[in-house]
Amino acid sequence: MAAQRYREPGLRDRLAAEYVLGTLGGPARRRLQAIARYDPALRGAIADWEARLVPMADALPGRTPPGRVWDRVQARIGAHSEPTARRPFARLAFWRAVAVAGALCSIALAAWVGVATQSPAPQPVAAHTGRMLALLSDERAQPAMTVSWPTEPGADGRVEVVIRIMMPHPEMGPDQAWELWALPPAGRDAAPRSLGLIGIEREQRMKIEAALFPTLLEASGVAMSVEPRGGSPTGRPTGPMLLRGPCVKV
Amino acid sequence: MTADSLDPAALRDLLARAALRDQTAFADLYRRCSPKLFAQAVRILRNDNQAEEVLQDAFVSIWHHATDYSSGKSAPMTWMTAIVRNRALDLVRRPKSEVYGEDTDELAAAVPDAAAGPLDLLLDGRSAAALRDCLGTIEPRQRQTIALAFYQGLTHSELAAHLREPLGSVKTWIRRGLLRLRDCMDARASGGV
Repeated sequence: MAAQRYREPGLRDRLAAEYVLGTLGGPARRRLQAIARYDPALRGAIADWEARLVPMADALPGRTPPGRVWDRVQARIGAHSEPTARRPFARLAFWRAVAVAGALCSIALAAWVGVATQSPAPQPVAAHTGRMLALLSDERAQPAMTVSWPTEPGADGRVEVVIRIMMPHPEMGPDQAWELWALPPAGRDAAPRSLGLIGIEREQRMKIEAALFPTLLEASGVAMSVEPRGGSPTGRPTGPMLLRGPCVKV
Repeated sequence: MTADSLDPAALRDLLARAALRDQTAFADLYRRCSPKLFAQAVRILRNDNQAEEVLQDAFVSIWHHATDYSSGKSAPMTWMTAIVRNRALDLVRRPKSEVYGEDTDELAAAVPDAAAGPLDLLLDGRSAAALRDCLGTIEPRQRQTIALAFYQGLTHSELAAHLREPLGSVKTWIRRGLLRLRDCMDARASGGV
C-alpha cells in the first residue's frame, strides 16, 4: 500500500477510525503506525477518533489487577528501591542493562573488525567506506540508541543513516515526535541541525539529503529531542534533549 | 470504586503531580484507574497474564510521559485508555500470534455474547453524553458490530466469523456506523451542545 494513498482525507479518516476501533489486522495496523510517525495529518485523525471512541471504555466494569502489577511498575520506575534491591525485577533490569551494554559492544566490535557492519542479516553496508557511530545515552548515562552513517555518500548523493534503539521499552507519547539532531563541532557556536523524525522501531534507516552531508561529517555528536507532532516548529530543538552522545569514526 | 474516583479534574491533578515525579500521586492514580484499564486489557487479550504485562508497561509509560499529557487535549482517562488499548491491540495483532492460533472460528467462539453489556451501560450512564447520544442514533446492527469490535478487539474477519455474517456486510456496517457517529459527534461539538 503506497503511503500516497493515505493522503486522501476520506480514506485517511476511515483508516484512522478503524485503527482506533481496533479492527485492522496486524499488517495493516503496523503499516498505519509506521506512516503515522511521519504523517501529522494521520496522527491528528487518529487523535480525533480516540477522543470520539475511547470513552466507550468508561462503560466497562472495572476489575482490580493483582498486587504484583503495581510492585513491578514501582520497581521499573525506580520508586523507593535501591539499585541493588533483591527484587527479581530489579535484577532483571540489571541484566537487561548488561545485555544492552553487551549488544553495544558487539556492534562496535563488529564495526571495528570490519565485519559486514552492524546487522548480521540484510542490507550490508559497503565494506570499504568507514562509518561514524554515535552512541546516545539517557540522563542516567544508560546507552539508549546508536546512530551511524557511512563517511561516503551513496550513489545518489544521499546518506543512509541507521538508527538502532536499545531502550527496553521505547514509547512515544500520543502528541509527540522524536527528532534527531546533528550537534555542531566542539567549540563552534552553531545550532544543532535537524536530521529528521524517527519512530520507535528497534532498527530504522533514513536517507539524509546530500546538502546535510557536510554537517554530518563534522558533527561532534547526535541528540534526540522530544518535539510536538510533526517535529520542531522552529527548526531548533524545542523540547527536552532526552538522549545525546558523541560520535566516533569506526 | 466510586464514580468520583475517576473525576477528570482529580485525575488531571494526579497526572500533573506525577509529571513532577510525585510517587504518592502516581500511586493514587494507579489505584483509581487500574481496574478500568485492566478490564479493557483483559477484554482485548482474553489472557490475564498478558493483560497484567500490558497494564504494567502502560503505567511505566504513563509515568514517563505524564509531562506530555499536560499539554494534551483529551480527558485523562481517554489518554490512559488509549495507551492500554494500543498496547493490547499491538500484542494481539503481533506477527507471530500463537496465543489463539489461526483458527478464527475458535477465537470467535471464545468471545462472550455479553459483548453488548458495556454498551448498554454506556447508553444508560451519565458520562460521555455526546458519544452515548450519537451511538443511540445509529442503526442497531451497526452499533452492535462497533461495540463488539471495540470491547473485544476483533478484526473484520473475526467479527464476521463471530456474527456468522459475510465479511463485506460487517465492513459496511462498521464503515457506515463510524461515519454516522463522526458526523453526529462533530455536529454536536460544533453546535456547542
